[in-house]
Amino acid sequence: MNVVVVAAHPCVESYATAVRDRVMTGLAAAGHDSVLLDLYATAYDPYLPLPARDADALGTATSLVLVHPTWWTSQPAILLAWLDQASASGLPGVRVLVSVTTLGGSRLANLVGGESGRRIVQRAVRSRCVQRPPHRRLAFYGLDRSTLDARTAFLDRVERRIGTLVR
Amino acid sequence: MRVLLVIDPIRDEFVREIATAARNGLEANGHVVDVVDLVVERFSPVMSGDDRRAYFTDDPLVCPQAAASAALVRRAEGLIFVYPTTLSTVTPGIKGWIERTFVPGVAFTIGDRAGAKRGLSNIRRLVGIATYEDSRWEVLRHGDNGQRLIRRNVRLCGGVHTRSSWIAMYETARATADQRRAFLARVESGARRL
Repeated sequence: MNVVVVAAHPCVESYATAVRDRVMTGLAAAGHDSVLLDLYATAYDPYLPLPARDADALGTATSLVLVHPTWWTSQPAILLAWLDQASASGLPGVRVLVSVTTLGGSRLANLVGGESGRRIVQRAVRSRCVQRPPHRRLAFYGLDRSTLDARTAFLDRVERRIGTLVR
Repeated sequence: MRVLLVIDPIRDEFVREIATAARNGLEANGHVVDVVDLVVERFSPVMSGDDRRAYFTDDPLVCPQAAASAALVRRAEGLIFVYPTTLSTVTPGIKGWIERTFVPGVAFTIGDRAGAKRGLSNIRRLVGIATYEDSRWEVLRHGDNGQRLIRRNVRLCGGVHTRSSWIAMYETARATADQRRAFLARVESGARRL
């Protein structure tokens, strides 16, 4: 199995970056081959075609893992642009889509807000994928008012669970 | 009324024609129109590290492009988005414009105790004009995340006088020249009555 992990947060000191690192650790511990595409580290430009490196990685991918903060109820614009380009190929090998995301507001606030980010992957991206892969999700709600303990517990959960979600 | 048109004509010239129709209708009715064309301005949709680090400070508008847009938003009484629906939501360009322009102090303020406060109460009319490749039924099935973002999430930053409305064109790929002309006429008359 080949897992492509796509990360999208501009700051290396961010919690989202810590989540990204624990995703990679968890996948390695579970014995998965994985490749990290960090859209900020690689200076992905939405106005240019999809980089050849990204297209090559997706060509053999069996799982696609998206690691990102949730802004204005959905994925950051840089990731929406990348998803639009990447999913145009139909991602023929991809058998599962995974989102690992943080949300500033509570579960209730996001329910009222409409959870667009979830729908975009679960319906729009999925419907473009040849294999109609299921969408699995690890979400940390209420980041804005979270405690250090809660954040630490989520990082542990991500590392423990991620290997079981991909295929 | 001063109206700000935010348009993303990426891979769709028709969006520019829609924006022109909207502008003509508004100006015919005596409104003053500002336009932000994300492609012409090469507005970067990417929230940079500098943007993000400044986000929760007193001066979050570190990028001149975003600051210029924020100034237009503060002066506007009408706000209209025009875009081709992408992955069931607004284009990445529009999403990035919202992320980088609607920062604390513009769209909302973060209070110590009361939570977020509204910042867009100067906007009386909030309008989305969206094109869809899918049929109305497909859009219903996949969920209209663009409309939800604008009419719910952005609308919540407005005040009690902020009214929102929506103009949609479905199945654009199969649309005939007549259907396109009819839609442009609908946009223009809608803008005239705003």
